[in-house]
Amino acid sequence: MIQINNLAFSYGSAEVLRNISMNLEPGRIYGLLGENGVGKTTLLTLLCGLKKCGAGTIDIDGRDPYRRDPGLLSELCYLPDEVAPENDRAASWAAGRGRFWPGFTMERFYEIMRVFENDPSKKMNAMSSGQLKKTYISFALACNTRYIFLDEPTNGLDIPSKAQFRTAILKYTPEDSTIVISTHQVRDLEDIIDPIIILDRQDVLLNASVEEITSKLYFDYSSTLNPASLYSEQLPGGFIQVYPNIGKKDCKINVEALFNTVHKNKDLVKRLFSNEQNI
Amino acid sequence: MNRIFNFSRFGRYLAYDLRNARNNAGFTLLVYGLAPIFFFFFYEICSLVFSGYFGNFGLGWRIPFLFVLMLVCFTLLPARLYGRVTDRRYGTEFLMLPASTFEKFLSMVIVTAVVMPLCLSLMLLVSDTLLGLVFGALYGEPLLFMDNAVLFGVDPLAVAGDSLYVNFFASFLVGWWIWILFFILGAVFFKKSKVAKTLLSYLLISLVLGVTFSAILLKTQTGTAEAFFTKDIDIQTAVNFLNVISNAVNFLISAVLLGLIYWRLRALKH
Repeated sequence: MIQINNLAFSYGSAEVLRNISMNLEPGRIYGLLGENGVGKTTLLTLLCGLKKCGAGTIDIDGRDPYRRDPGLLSELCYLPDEVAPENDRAASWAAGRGRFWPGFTMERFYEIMRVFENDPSKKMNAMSSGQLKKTYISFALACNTRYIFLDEPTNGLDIPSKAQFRTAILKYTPEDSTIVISTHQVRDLEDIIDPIIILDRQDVLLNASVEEITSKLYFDYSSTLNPASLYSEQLPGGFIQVYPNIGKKDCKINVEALFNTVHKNKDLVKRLFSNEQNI
Repeated sequence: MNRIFNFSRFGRYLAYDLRNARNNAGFTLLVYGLAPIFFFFFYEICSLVFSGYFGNFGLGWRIPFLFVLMLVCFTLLPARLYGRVTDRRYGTEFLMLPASTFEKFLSMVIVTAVVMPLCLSLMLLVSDTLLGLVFGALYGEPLLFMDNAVLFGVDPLAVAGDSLYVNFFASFLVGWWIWILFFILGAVFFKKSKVAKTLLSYLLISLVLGVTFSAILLKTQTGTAEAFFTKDIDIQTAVNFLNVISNAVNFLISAVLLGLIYWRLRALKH
């Protein structure tokens, strides 16, 4: 389990994260959302130990990631938003690098590469950015690690690859793994992420499971506007609107509408989900 | 201990690092190794075109050429091999690989300061020997076959009878070692214009240290220098003293550079 306690981080005098606390539990695929510059990538890099916390702690099974202990690193896999075009064939690169992760197998790497219709014998520096990204995703999933952090994994992927990515994430990750996906492409991933974390400047606006969200907010597609709606947007043939789910009706979450609702009603949503006050 | 160093993991990492080095700098190193052959033919063609006959490519050309070639190679290759650790994409890969910082540091030093110079020296010797054997009349005797009275051992100076010998082999070896360590540090320390900034830093530090040490020596060692020149100290004692000082200084510089490289890798963030 990952425990984040009162985490703070600044780039020089610019404070990015302040007093962030949350627990990330096994067997979940967390969707990390937020506007540009709120610190999503920073949070992921702090979780990986690529940066040192300014204040507070990150505890991954009792270990501090910044110590870069090889034992912990072999249980982590991080896919950055920009990946390196190595001067090597994908298969040779994966075989050489994969030897450091005990759970890695080449069979699994080849299998995921096949899912993505990607050629493992191709040189990585001759690949398109999408093919390169798919190679790194295949490697990350083939490592079979307990903690997987993906930063904008669907950026640069074509339409079929986005579906293949969703399939691969569900099929090739261990049941008990903790996956954190930072993304702006919410529609690509809204069927697989649960819980959802929405970061704001120096704050966590929301950290809740889809079930909890839909029990408190109702996502309504209709042609008439509800006066109680916290957010509404005109769509062809009607509206998508979000309002408090007073009647506890079943609904399907719309992550984009949720994001906009949370941003328009920050204090209200925080109170609603912290159970301090009912609307 | 396993967290800091593990033989099996280090072996795997070194093999991985050597493979990356071959992919990223293998061809460049090969070109450097074969450069004496290209340069010899270039020299002979120029000689034929401008003088009408093949010229004698003597030691006067060969030694400076080899020296410059090694200097260029040892200046540029550390940045080519490891300069990318400061790039976010490659640096992230480097840091996230499950090996300890010490293992990564050790492998970096072995690949850049031991394996690369050995490979280059070997290729240069092969090129030189081939040219010497095939074009002996124009190129001269291969360096490998020469009775060049090179001293071996760790001391830069030696006395035999009334003569003072300079151990060029040891001096070159130590000089290159420190030079390469300095350029590894520059490669992992500076984010941009790595080679230029490292060269500039090297010149500045050499200048400051040179002036400082000279000033200290002039202030404190006047008596010893006088004693030396008035033959109160025999030449063997003076040579022993200089050897100890030289080895101690080289050891100190190496330790500081190695410590700084390790510290920089430990402090690397992306």
